[in-house]
Amino acid sequence: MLSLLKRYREVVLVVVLAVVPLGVFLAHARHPSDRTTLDRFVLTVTSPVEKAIDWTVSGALSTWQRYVWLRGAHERAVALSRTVNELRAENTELSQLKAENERLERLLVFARSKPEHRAVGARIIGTRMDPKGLQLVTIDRGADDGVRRLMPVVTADGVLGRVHTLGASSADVLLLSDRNSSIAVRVERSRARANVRGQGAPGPCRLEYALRSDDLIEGDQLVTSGTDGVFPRGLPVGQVTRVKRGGFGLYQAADVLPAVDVNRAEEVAVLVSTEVPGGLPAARAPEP
Amino acid sequence: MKPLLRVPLALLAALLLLAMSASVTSQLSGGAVSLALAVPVIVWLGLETPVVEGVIGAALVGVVLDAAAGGPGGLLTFLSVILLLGVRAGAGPFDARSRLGFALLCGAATFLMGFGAILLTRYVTPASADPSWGLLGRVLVESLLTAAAAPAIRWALDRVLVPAHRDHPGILR
Repeated sequence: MLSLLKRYREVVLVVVLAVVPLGVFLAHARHPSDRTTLDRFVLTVTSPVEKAIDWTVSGALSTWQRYVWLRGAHERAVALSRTVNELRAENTELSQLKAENERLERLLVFARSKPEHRAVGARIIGTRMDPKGLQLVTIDRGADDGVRRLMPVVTADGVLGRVHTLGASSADVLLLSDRNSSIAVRVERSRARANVRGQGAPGPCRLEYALRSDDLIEGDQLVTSGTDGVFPRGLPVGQVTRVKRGGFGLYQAADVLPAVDVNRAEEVAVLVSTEVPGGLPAARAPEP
Repeated sequence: MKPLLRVPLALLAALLLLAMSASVTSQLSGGAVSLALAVPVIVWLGLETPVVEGVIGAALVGVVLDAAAGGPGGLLTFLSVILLLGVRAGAGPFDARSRLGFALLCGAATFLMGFGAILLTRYVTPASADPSWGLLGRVLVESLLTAAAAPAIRWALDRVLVPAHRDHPGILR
């Protein structure tokens, strides 16, 4: 028997190596089990090789594509650059539209918060802030739109100025920063009265005619008092930044930071109907 | 080379080629096609080694293929052994040691192995889960790609494993 096995050992080995796996397969195929230790071993052995090959092939392909195979790269770069420029321009335009939308929304909220005023929206179409002349901006609304001289012009932040010169479809607005502009105000906190006068340039204005005995401190908010016959009461004018109280005199002075940055204003509202206390004299027209 | 050394080296080569198959197909096609680079090792064993050495080597490579494939154990081991015997039987009539002959043999072996795997799996699995015959198209592509890569694999195996110069063709000779 042993000699027979020895004689046919090759055949026996082949048959065993073929039949045993088939038996294993047929036994387990219908009930597949979880991965075995051998499976995990093969995975452990092959995965580092796969990683190494992956790293090498990826690196080689990447090097080839980045540094060697650059056919058409210049054209693509030019096209992409053009696209980027177009998208940037579009983005800038959209940003501007968004900012404008926000400004208009604030202006609308401001106008709606004062139902006693009827406002006409306008856009600033020109500025003339020559230090030798008046501080003016031109708006795209005029007499045809119901705008009249001395009407208050505001933004969502507060007072910008008043209508100075009127055309049919446009008007010049004298800014609160002009030296001819004087707006009657109250200190919001203490209700003290004073005037805010421009200094002929965009930037701080001057507070004048504030009684020395009045309660005035830095940071006080100033609003229109409604006593100058032009501006209705309660509109923000600015903030006291520096109080100057001399050793003597009837009044104290202060610097005022305007609530509206005249350099940045773009959309405004002209208050065409306001609740102004009757009997008060109209504001004097400015003299250049 | 000693037979005891050739079998483990063949196993190592199969492991390496398995990893390469997975990586290369992933890199080049993202898995759209597959490669069976370990099959040429079985074909090479069938052509160049004595039957005992070859059948043990083929069985071990089959075990590794089974483990890597994740299917039911034993299927690819059985098919590897059968494949080795088929190579030994079929390589006689033509010059299987030439580049073209080896490539054709590897292509045919890959296809038959795939076909056999589908057939046996269909036999044992429920009808709802059995592999579709449509997979044969994929097996065909795999066979062609493997055949294309086979000469290079043979070149490497000849240098690493060193043929045993089996002069007499036949299943057990």
